[in-house]
Amino acid sequence: MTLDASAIIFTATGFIFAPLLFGIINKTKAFVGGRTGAPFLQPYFDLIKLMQKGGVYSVTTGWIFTSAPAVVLASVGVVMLLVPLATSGAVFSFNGDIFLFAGLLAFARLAMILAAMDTGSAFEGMGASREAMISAISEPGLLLMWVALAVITGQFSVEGMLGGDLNFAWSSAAGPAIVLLLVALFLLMLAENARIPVDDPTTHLELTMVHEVMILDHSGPDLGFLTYAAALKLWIFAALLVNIVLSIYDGPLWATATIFGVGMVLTAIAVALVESTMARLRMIQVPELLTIAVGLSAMSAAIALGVR
Amino acid sequence: MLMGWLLGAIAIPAAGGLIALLLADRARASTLVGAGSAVAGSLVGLVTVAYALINNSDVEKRWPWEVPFGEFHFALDPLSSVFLLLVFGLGLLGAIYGAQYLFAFRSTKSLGVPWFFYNLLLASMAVVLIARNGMLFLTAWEIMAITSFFLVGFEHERAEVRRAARNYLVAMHVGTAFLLAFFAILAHETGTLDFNALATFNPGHVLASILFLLALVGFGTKAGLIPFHTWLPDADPAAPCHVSALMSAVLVKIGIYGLLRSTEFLGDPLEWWGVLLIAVGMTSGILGVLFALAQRDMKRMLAYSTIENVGIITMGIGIGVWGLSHDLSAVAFLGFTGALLHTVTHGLFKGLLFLGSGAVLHRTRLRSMDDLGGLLKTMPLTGIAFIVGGAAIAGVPLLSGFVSEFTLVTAALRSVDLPGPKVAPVLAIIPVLGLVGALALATFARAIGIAFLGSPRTPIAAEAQEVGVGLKVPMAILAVLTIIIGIVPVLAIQVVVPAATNLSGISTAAAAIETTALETLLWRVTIAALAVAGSVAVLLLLRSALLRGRSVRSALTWGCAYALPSPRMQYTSTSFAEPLIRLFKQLVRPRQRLSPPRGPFPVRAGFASDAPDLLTERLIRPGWLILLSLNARLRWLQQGSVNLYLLYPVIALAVLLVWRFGFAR
Repeated sequence: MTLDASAIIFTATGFIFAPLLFGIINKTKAFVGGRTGAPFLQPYFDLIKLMQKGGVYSVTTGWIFTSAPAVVLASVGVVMLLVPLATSGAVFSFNGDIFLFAGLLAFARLAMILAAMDTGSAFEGMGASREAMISAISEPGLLLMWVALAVITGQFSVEGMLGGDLNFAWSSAAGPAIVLLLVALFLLMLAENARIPVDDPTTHLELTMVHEVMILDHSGPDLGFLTYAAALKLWIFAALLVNIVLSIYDGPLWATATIFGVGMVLTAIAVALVESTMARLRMIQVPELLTIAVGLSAMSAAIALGVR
Repeated sequence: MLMGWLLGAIAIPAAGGLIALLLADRARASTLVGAGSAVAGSLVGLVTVAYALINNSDVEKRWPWEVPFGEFHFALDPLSSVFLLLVFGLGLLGAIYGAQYLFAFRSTKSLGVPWFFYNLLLASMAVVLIARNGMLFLTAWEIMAITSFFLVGFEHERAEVRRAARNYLVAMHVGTAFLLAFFAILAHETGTLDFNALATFNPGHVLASILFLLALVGFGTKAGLIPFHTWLPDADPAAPCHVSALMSAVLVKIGIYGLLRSTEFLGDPLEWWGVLLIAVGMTSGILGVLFALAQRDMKRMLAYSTIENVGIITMGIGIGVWGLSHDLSAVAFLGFTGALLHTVTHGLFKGLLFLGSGAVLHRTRLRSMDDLGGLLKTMPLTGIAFIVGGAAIAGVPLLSGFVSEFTLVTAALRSVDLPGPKVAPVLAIIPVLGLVGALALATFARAIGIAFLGSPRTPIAAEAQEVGVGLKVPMAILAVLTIIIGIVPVLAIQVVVPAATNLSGISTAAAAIETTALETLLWRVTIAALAVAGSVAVLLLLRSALLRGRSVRSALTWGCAYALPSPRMQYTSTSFAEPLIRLFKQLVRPRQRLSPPRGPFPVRAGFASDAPDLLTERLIRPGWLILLSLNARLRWLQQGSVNLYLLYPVIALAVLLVWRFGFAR
């Protein structure tokens, strides 16, 4: 683990620009829908506003509810440190950190679910139950993706799997396996970040929500923490996706960073286009979609095992 | 000298138990002697074993025993030590907890009896672990089964407890039958049952495979591996909670110990053994946690989750055996390390969870989590303990469950060293751990959320009080250990590394290199845990700084502006589990009875669901029915006539005499 200045700058950039992804998504959706839409920086205005507010707490809640937002943000924040920019390395990396990646996201999820259950609301219990169901498929899918990358690259860390060895792999027989992974990862990104077609972030009916209903009773800085954590999580998944595509390219750092930035914007636009053209799936069909992602990851791992 | 202390640690509870039995009429005295001797013996045992582990000293002692193949041959090695630490550690805490827990039964039951069996169970488990002779091993094994049978049947006035205890006794003996065959074949082939001699025995592939399968079924029954698990979901919940803790945390692990010990007698392992172990482990892991998710009874849920975790341990053993078969000693070493580590960490947090559920049961007498709710407010320490245990078993970082699973993932990733696609079953462990972990998270988030969070669903739950200090201290100790191992896992590694080194046959130098490499990774886990904990602290400070001086109000939970919510409107455990159970309904097959409302003015409507154990229903019960109908054909032999019964031995003797003197000559 060499503490690289470029890695630190990259991660800091992520912490700063993550909410912008929401801004781009919303603006694109508005554009497709023929509206002007909120400014690109609206997510920042929202966060600043939330941080300035007081709080309202349900009488049934206790310390679980009040500490959960901090746990969620801290866990997702540490995951941010594992994500590299192409070959320039991550702030924090070790062999097997893929399991820490999954574990910290699980920790955040546990805190969210417990906070939701602490309110004693049937709505939030329902959201928590759905979140648990979705993650039960997406978590093995995500780990399967890491296994496939481990086989393809022979590396055991997030940094290593997205680094130089992946660049070589594109031109090898494992190339098609990487393409399958990209599709799987895109689906997992939509599911893990509560986007259409798995969940609808803009719905107004409690019964149809997953992520939104779990944060129904949070307010003020707590809600700010959760919203910012959600932005970071979207950044993490989009960065993985862009990194895998970017690994084809082997050039100077400034060019890589520029392409990465463009890639992140394009990913946000892609998410927005999916949301503009599709409706949310019925809850009963969500597992089918996710199983496709798991199946693609499994196929990718099988190909990678077969050709080595 | 060391062996003397160890045998003393076994003799003290055994003698104390006997005295407690004699004092059976006097509740206070028998508790004092029974629990006191268990505590004293366990303390001596803990110190002795820790001393032996630190000083790396193996001891061996032999005394003659006038039984065919028998010998009092005891030894202490690193593998025994790991499990002995669990026996004495949980035995100690269980005794402290049980002293107060059982005392509530003093008006209706004699307390000397359970203490007698508890202490004898402790002693017999310790003897199993240090026995180095097949006869001695089987004898202690049998005492272990019988004493735990009586403990399971403690509340025998309840019909389901009697049924569970009976099932338990039968299952244990079916398992023992396979072990008898295992040792009989070994004795026949080698002429001895001395473990040292058996360790040099090198059976051919066919015989070794037969022996391996016998050991897998025999020890797997004790460990609760699917499909040999059917006793566990009934017996564990039936026992008093400190016994449930001991059974789930330690007793089933003795089966794991047996499996590991028996691999020493089988020569070089074959690849398919490892693959089979991984497959059995995955099956137990996934089915165990799915059935746990479907339960409403807290203790039954915990019992199924034990099956899941034994599955995870077995996957680790599978990696170890697979690594041995490919001469990948590093993979084998890491696999065994992970398996043993998970044995220890699961022992701690499952013990914790059973003691936590026992505390709830002690105060409320309610078994179904749907009758509870909001207990974190009324029983804060029990709540925190249960949350720590539940989060640990879900495998989240900062707690010990993550550490052992991380080690298993490291082992599985190392298998990539072997070129070609043969690594597929080992690599498959990683996504399966993800699936099992996510399902365990759902299971325990549900249990914590329904029982400890929200508002109380019944008046009894609302009035529950925190338990006394005798119940609190063991829970606190286990919770603190779970957190310490989670944050500084390097401390726990030292306990299991010597045993894993022996099992994997790795050279000491190579083991040292692998250990250092693993420790480096685990220090990174420590850094990550501290980073998360530190960030949480900073964010909480930031939050309170932001909220200072601002309006912070209390209000009702949002319910679409409905102002009179009742606790009954909260989500139930069945509703919470429904999406996942529906997703896996091919595996769980939940039973649902629905009587929908009828007519324009419906009077009544109902819905009930449960998840009966699939293998019990589809495999074991039909099997027993066939066996019973076969037995019925022999009923003419047993008509209750004493004359006839006297005739049978006469016939038998005559046949034997004729055979001995007529043909055998």
